[in-house]
Amino acid sequence: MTDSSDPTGDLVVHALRQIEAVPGWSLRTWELLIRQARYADLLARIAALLKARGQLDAVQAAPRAHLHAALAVARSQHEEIDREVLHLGRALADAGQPLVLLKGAAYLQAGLPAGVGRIFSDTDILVPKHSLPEVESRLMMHGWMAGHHTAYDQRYYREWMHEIPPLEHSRRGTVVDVHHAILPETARLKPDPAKLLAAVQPVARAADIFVLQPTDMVLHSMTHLFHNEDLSHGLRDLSDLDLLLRHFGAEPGFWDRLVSRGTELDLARPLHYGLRCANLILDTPVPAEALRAAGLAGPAWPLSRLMDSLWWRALRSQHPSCAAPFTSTALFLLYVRAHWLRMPPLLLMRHLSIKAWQRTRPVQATAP
Amino acid sequence: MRVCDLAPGQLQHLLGGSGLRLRTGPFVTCIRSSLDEVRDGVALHYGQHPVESDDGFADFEVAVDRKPGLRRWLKPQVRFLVDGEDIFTPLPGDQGFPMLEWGLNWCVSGLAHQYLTLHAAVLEREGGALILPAPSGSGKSTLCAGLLFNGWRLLSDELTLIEPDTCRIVPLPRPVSLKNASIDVIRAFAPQARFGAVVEETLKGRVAHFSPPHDAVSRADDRAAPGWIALPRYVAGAATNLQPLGKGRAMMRLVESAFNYNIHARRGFAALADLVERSDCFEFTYSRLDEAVQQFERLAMARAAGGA
Amino acid sequence: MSAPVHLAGRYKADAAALEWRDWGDEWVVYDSCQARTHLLSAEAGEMLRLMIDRSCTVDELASALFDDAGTVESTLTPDERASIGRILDDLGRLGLVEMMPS
Repeated sequence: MTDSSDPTGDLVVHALRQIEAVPGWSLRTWELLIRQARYADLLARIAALLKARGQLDAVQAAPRAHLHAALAVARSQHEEIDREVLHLGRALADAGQPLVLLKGAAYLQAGLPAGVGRIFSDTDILVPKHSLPEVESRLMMHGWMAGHHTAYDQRYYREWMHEIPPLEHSRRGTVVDVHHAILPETARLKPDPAKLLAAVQPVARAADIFVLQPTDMVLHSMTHLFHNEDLSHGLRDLSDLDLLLRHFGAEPGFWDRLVSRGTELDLARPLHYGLRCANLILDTPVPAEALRAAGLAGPAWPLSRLMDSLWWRALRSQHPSCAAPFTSTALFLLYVRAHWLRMPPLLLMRHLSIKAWQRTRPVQATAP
Repeated sequence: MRVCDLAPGQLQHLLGGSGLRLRTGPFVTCIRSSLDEVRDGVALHYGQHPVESDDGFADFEVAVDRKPGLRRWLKPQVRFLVDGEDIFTPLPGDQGFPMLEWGLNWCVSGLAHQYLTLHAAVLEREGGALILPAPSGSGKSTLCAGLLFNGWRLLSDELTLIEPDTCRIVPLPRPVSLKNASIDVIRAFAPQARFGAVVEETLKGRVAHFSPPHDAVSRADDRAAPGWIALPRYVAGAATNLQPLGKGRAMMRLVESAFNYNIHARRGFAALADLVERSDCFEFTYSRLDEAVQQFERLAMARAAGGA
Repeated sequence: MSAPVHLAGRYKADAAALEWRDWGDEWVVYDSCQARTHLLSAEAGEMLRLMIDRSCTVDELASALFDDAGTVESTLTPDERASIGRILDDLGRLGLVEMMPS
């Protein structure tokens, strides 16, 4: 049975809030944590946090094996993103555009804690709207293909959304989401993408890979989370936000810059939700003054109370064992399917090379 | 405590309630099912396997049950759930036990990335592992079944688990599955094999399982060192033929057979290279199972004589 | 790399990206840049190994492979040079070597 001092309910939130206590949990609690965390795409993150604190070996052997397995999957995905970024860079260079990464790929390439232990699906990039036709055409020349979307879908994306339909690479199977803004044109809030692009910074490891400046990266993370009708990755996104805030929050003047930039970009409301939820749910250290200043843009009571309880329930692992009314099986199926798709097919691996012919053999064509 | 040690009715109680926590090799699976054929299959084939206590750790949580809805009375279907969620297309109603077995294979190949996992049968003799990587239809399962009744210890008929850092092969002793004609071949070749019900008309044809030998289960903690790699091929009427195989080609076959090679990346490459380096590699063609068994007996004797 | 092999071009393999093992006349190479694994002949493998150390021209590769006794390049037959070129072309198409910018 579980140790009576172990937490119950959403163990993933408990683990993220108090990672140092996690190795001491009972085996049954660990069993449930692993299932909940896998469901929320946060198992590798928990493993990475433990590893960074040197506590991975303190976990009992049976659950530890699952942590190692999750880290192996995350590592292979990171290598795939590294390769993908190279390919994208070449295609965008052809289009005369710098490679500006968003979200997970940005965290990873910038070497941020939010990139560690992160599970990836697509790569997100930001380009100016006027460059979309050229960018799209160059990506296609480099092997990316438009997915099978109906005419309605195409119109939905192109006219109303802030990104074009995802493009899938014909050989590698990887997907790139090309954004021209961080919110749809139909949204009430209007963060000017030109301002974001004007402030991008190169990452330390490569002068030709760019990411949003720290305040913008944080604001984008909040905007994405709090405007997303699909909250299946809500807790993961909140965890990313928590790690971004902890990292950048140590820089002098960051919080003041964050609040004023939030106002400048018309993102004061998601900033309020972001700081409040990260602070309440994951115990992110946010200075009281920043909370107060951001709170000025928050909703009035009683809406504020309602929103609190909605976010509280939505931003958690949606595993059936978590005490949340919003149980969604869609998240688990997406995880399972994505996981399944990442496995190599049972029989086939495209690897067998053209065998170079011997010097004594006559010229002949070889087949892969 | 093993499954066969459970009190009468206790197996049914666990399967129908909090779950049977069954140990298979390095894994513990919490299994729930209300289906008679699953209970009977577990009782028959997993009798020697340990049952773990409720306060231990289960690696996987699975269930096999009838798909709910009106259909369950007209044309019942079974489904396999991992952690409460459907992951396979449901199968016709009497395929509950094969569904459990395929589902358990999925859990291991899909989630257990602490190992490098190959789609291959593996047996042990003289401390060395004989790995038989092969696609379905190659005669791998028949050969594996023949060998395990003739001196070779079964590690797995389907999933070869490799520790990436040491190249040791980890046993996963479970019921051996056979299809179609193989069922009759092995029934005749090894009358002592304990078969369960033959399930007709699956996607793979006729499917049956027989119980893993007792020593395979009792020695589930005995990991094996690399020994041999043989690529089997059943060809009707062919002479028994064991040919040395270049290690490069052998390695490429292992790469092809690996479920999670990409996840292990460079470390996977190094592990498979180390595995072939330390193994004698062959191609093997056969049509007669008795001759095939003799051929591998000679390999085992050579290893014993060489004191390897 | 679909362009024909340039006899004057210098070709190089990415040492950091590649890992290999060789057993007699079978080489297996892992390319971590593309996450692909290849089976190569001994000649192709030896050529690749030379190009991991430093960039090479077709003639330099031919000399190193065919020339144990320190004989002069001009003793290479056109067939030998052509077969080196074909192997180099294959290695290029697999993404294992690239021509250096001149």
